[in-house]
Amino acid sequence: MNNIMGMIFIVVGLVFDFFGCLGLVRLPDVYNRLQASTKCVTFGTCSILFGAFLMLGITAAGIKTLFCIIFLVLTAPVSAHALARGAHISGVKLWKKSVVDRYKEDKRSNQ
Amino acid sequence: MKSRVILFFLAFLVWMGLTWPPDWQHFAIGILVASFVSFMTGDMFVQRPHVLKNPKRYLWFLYYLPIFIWECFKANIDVAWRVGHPDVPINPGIVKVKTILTSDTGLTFLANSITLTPGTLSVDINQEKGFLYVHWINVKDKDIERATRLIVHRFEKILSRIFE
Amino acid sequence: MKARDRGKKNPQILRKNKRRSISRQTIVAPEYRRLRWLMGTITILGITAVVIFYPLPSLIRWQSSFLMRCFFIVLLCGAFCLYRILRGPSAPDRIVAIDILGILIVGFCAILGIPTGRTWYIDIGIAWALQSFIGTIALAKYIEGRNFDE
Repeated sequence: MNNIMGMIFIVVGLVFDFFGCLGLVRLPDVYNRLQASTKCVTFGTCSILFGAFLMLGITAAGIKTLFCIIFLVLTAPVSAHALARGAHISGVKLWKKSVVDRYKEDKRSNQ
Repeated sequence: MKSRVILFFLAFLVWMGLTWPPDWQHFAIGILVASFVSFMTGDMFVQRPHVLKNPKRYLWFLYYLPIFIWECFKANIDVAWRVGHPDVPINPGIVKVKTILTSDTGLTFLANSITLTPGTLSVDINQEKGFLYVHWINVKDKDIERATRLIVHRFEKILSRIFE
Repeated sequence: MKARDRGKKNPQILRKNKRRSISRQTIVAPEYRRLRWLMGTITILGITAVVIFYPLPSLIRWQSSFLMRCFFIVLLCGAFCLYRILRGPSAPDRIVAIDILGILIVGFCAILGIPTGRTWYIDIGIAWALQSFIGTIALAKYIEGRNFDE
């Protein structure tokens, strides 16, 4: 039973991983790519790791997968945030059809 | 001193998890390593130890977890639909939202949960004025107040009870 | 002084690259977009079907053979990341792709550990996640044009 549940979790995780990487290719601009890929790949990898935990049970490796999940959930958004901020400061513009950019307006009014 | 004791117990728990089948040798070395780590970096980690005493906060955290996981799942379905659609229906932009949280931990958790929920990615924080700049993949409203109601209010009440 | 110079130089390079990429994208007429989407979907579904169903999985140990096939889907995702690394129009694109590749490898190690029975692959996954997080933060600070000790 645990094996089947773990397999289902692994397959769901693979599907989300796949869509995240497809977003990396299809979307038009750094920020959109960052959104799609960070969300989908983090959730997919956490799902794969949870499936691995269900298949391994409470053993040495199983508990390490749980620690890996906590670590990924805490760090992946932080690195996405740092990358978005760095890209905006280094001068990458938004997509030409984007609606509004409050960050740029505020930076201009501060200078 | 209190923060060092808390950090010692946390580091020791992580150590015992990483070396799972419990053993006297692992136990002894774990005490040594955890005390060294808490001695070196104790004053940076926990700044307000009195927050950890209140059991209500843990209950609110347990209430926060399923909401967060459900929002995260919805976010993934939404982004997968946008990526798989032939026309890529996106409408991106960076909007500004307000927040009432002031503590470092609360702001970090708010930014992380904004990043992992539908269509939003936090770009920068202005801590003195309490502004967050959020990249939104489908901008529904450019106004500050309405954007705040749509993005932040789901988490802000619970997070202010946990961390403030 | 150095940081300011870098901040001045970077935008010009990035802007030049971006203009080129936009002109490349507008060549495709909008009428053909749906057709292209259909062809791409068929290709990807075909690749996945071939990977999973050929040669047919043995019925006796179907669990481990199924997991062995799951690798190839992760490798396909890795190929998408490599495409973005090769053809990303600007430096932040490439850094995003490298970050995502790091997270993918963690999941890859977790799947690899189960059917082979070598559970130390998960240790490699944890170490890789740590390293890739630190590397991404360092690269983000670099493109921001700041020193590391701020």
